[in-house]
Amino acid sequence: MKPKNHTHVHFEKIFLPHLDAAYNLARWISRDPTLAEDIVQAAYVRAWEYFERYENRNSSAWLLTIVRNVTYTMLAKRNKENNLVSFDELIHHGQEFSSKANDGVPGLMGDRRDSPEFIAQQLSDGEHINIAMQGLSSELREVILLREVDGYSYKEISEITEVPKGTVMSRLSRARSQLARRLNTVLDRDSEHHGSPERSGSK
Amino acid sequence: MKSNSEACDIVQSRLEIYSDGELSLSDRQELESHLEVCEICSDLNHRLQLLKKVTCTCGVKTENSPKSAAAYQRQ
Repeated sequence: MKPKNHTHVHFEKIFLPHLDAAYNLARWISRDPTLAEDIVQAAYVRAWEYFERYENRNSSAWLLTIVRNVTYTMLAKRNKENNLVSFDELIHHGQEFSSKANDGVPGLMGDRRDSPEFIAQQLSDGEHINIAMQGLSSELREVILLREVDGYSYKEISEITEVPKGTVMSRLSRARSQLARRLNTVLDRDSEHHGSPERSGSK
Repeated sequence: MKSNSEACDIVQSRLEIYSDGELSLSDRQELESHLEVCEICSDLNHRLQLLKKVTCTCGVKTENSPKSAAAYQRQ
């Protein structure tokens, strides 16, 4: 039996607004949109079960900590069941997009269509960043997502990922330098389009 | 006053913290003053802003994943 202030309505009011963030975190850690849906469902069930212990803490950080733990538990379980070793999705995607770039008039297919520059031109920015993100380790993906997409502070990310603030900062830095290397083409092009640099930084 | 390269080293080591909005007010003002006069650091800052802009497009709305929203509603 839950206390009076731990009603279903109260729970929904607090945690339903974080559904997108929960799904994004599960999706980017697991790299599996379908599994992410199951993870979110399981995480919300668990959050409801432990709602009595919530005690008006930072609601999104509390929920995302659960989402993260459920994600790693379900991934470990799935890998154990499937006896998976590792799967380099970046290579998988590379092959996929390489094939995409080669769809067309056979007579026009040649060295140019196989070049990384040509393939890069065929991809939208969204595809570029998705491929670049897939190439990061899960610990780097989760911090960059929590920071750039969800806008959490270093302190909140530290709570969610259960690592010190300094580790969050170094992981963010590593994630950004790896992404920047993979997105050189996009960044170079946009730098040229924008002309002189904006002198802006913090929000 | 620090030499330019030394000032650049300090600013560049703080650019990410600045761009994340986590720098103290005084440090932020000092850094912004430097960005106004240093093209190299300003370019690096601009590139970092572009990276952040591209990265923030990674999020998806659960309206693209109706199962998640519906699944919760059933609980």
